[in-house]
Amino acid sequence: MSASKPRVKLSAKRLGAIFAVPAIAFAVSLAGLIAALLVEGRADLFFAIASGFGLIIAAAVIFRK
Amino acid sequence: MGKQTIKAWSWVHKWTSLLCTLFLLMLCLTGLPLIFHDEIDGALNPDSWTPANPAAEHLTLDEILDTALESRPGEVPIFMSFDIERPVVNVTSGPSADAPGSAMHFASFDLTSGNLVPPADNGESVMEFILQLHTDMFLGLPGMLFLGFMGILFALSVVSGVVLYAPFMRKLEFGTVRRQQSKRLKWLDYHNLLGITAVAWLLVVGLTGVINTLEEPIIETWKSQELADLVASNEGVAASASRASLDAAVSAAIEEAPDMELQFVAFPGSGFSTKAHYAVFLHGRTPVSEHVIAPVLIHAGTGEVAGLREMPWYAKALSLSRPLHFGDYGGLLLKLVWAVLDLLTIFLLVTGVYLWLARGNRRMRVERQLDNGEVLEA
Repeated sequence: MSASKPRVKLSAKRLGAIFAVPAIAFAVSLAGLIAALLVEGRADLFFAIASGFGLIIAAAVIFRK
Repeated sequence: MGKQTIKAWSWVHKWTSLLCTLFLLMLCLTGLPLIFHDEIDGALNPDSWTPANPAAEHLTLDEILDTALESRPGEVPIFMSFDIERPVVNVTSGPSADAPGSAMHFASFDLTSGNLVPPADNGESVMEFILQLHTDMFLGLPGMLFLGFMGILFALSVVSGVVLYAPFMRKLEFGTVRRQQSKRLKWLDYHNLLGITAVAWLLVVGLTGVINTLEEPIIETWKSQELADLVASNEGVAASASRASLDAAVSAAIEEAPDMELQFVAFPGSGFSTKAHYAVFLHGRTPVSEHVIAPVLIHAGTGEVAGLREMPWYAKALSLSRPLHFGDYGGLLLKLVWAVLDLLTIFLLVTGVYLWLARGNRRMRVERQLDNGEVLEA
């Protein structure tokens, strides 16, 4: 019997599609968390929103459906 | 991704999550009020105090120190800190400079008169209890290190969750929540969706929490390595009977780093200094450097400046990890984001346990699917 192991084949394209939104959420949130530490003033508001970008995406998805 | 690989990551995700769940739940619940500690303190202690002589010239730090020690006979000074918005100096004293926190006495003094400033400590005991529970569970260093280990497990569970997200979502669109099928599937989908969108925050708060648990070893390493020469040259030196002027020491420290501001003074023998030096801690003026402190060491007997010792990278990492962990650096909106993400983490922990408890016969089904190469088709 051949030794072929069962595998879940995920093409690079499919992987990209799976992680596209999470990767954007990760990058924007991380940038917001760090930028809020580096910059003070009114920009804090903007960076706080960026920090919670993942929450905004999740809320948009949940309430859209 | 092979069947065995997925099984291995599933094992990592399951056990790292389960082992740390209870402690993470405690950390999330105690962390929630700590995010708003400034607001809670402010609400419980409305600031009605005013300086006795607002127009008067400020007393010197030496005068304040003498006043503080007169009211605490037999005690020695440990720390002196400064209010930012009020002309108030805080003096911490104790039976010895290395006294434990429980033996320390904290008092605030009006810089314009030397009068005692009434303590704003309504609710302080509750907040201190919560902070202590959050920091070390009242177990000291072993408790801190244990919670640090829990933090590492938590970070591993987040990473393994990200790895497993791909096979779980193989045939699903982003954000799919299968509400019409089983209850377990619905909560699995919510768990995956909310978990993957909060990865950045979960990792930042988890890893900075781990760094914070290493506070004591980090400070000890800094003292034993970076300050080793100063400590060695003063080994066996008895505390000097004559004390050099504290005001002169602070002025000399600021001259060493004119672009920095005074933060606090650690007295000889305290946890943040050597046996023979005042350590005058300064911090930067920019948003980044204000979290990074540097001590100027000044011989407490002679007033001689030993020099500014920049903190090493690991101590700077500790300084930066504190605000990044508590989320108190970017205004109220950031705190609210922190609070919502804290609640989201509680949701992830609870749904994680639910998914594990409700696995039942599904495990056999998944194994069958694994055998068929249909991995994790829920």
